[in-house]
Amino acid sequence: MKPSVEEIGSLLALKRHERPEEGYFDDFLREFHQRRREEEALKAGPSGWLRRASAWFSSLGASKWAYGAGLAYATIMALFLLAPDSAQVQSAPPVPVNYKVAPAEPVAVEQLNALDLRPSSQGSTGEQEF
Amino acid sequence: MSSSYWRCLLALVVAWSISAFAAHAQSAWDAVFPGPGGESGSVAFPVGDGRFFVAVALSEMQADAGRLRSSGRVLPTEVFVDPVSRLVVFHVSGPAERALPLAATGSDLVGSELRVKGGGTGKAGGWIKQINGKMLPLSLLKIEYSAAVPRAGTPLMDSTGAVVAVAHQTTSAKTGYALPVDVVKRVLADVQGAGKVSRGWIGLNLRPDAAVPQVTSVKDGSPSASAGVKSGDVLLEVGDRQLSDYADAVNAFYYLRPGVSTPVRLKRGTQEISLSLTPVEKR
Repeated sequence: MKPSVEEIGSLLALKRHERPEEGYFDDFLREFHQRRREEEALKAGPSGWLRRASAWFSSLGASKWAYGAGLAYATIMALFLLAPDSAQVQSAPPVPVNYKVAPAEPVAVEQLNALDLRPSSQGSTGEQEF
Repeated sequence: MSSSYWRCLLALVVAWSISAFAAHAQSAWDAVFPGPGGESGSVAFPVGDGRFFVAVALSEMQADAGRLRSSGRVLPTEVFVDPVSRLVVFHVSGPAERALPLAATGSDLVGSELRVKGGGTGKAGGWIKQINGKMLPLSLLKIEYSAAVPRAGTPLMDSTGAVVAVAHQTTSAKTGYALPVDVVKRVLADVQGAGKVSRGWIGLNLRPDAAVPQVTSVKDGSPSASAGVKSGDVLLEVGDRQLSDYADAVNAFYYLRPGVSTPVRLKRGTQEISLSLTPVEKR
């Protein structure tokens, strides 16, 4: 059944006086901010990860304290195991540096008295008399 | 009998005669010396009047107990040893052999080609004055051979066939040291002249570590003092040998013979002085 022209006119008249209920615009603003936060959390990068992690941590409820304690224990143990051994990194004893340039010792020249060319042969050193 | 038979027989006789003559000409003289590890050999060759044979007794060998052999047969000999060069001279009283001629000197051999008696060639690479920081009492020639190093005592000859050096110690598969012929002539002169090998003494002192052959002191009453050599003099020439360092002086002093006057040139300050030294026998 099609409405008549008079009925349509009375309905439009009623719509003209229709108003949103009380608090409608406050909810709209809150919903807008929530959606914006959710969109930012979905973004890539460290800040996004951090936000997601914090969001996940917040959603854990009471069990988050158990997770936190476990994470802290793992961190302390890792630091303990990875810390370098103090004995290994002990600094070497200081080596005294002699800055004095000493002249090289003169090599003693041996004089063979015979053509004995064996490596073990020994001659005389120092001033030679002829 | 056909003539061809006689011709064949004649050819055989000629061939035998040639081979016998060649064997005699190549007569294998050698010397053996006892040592801690057994006997060691050296080639020997006749020099001088043909009754003197020269050989080399290397380190550790008892040079004065050496025996001269001819084709394996030991010959009765008198033995003369130069303890410095380890050159041994055997004197035989039998018939003289055909001696090898000795060159005038072996001091100008560096770079020249040498013929090794028995085959092969060699090239004189240079003079060796010290080995492993030890000064030699006389300079040796270093020889690079075309084939294996010949035995000690093997004569090395120039293009005319005169002996210019004698093979000494082996240093590698194809290199070895050699005594210049001057050593043979010096020892032979002593043996033929005085019947013994002696060393000359002139009574001056040198330091081996000095840059130049500078006299550090002169013994009172020595031939050097008598000739006028003074402490501080730098020796330039002894005999016909030019000196540039201590080793050259030691080498030159080896050839000094007692009683034989030797010209000496030296530098005193800026002045060059020539004088004559007559060594006496070293006690």
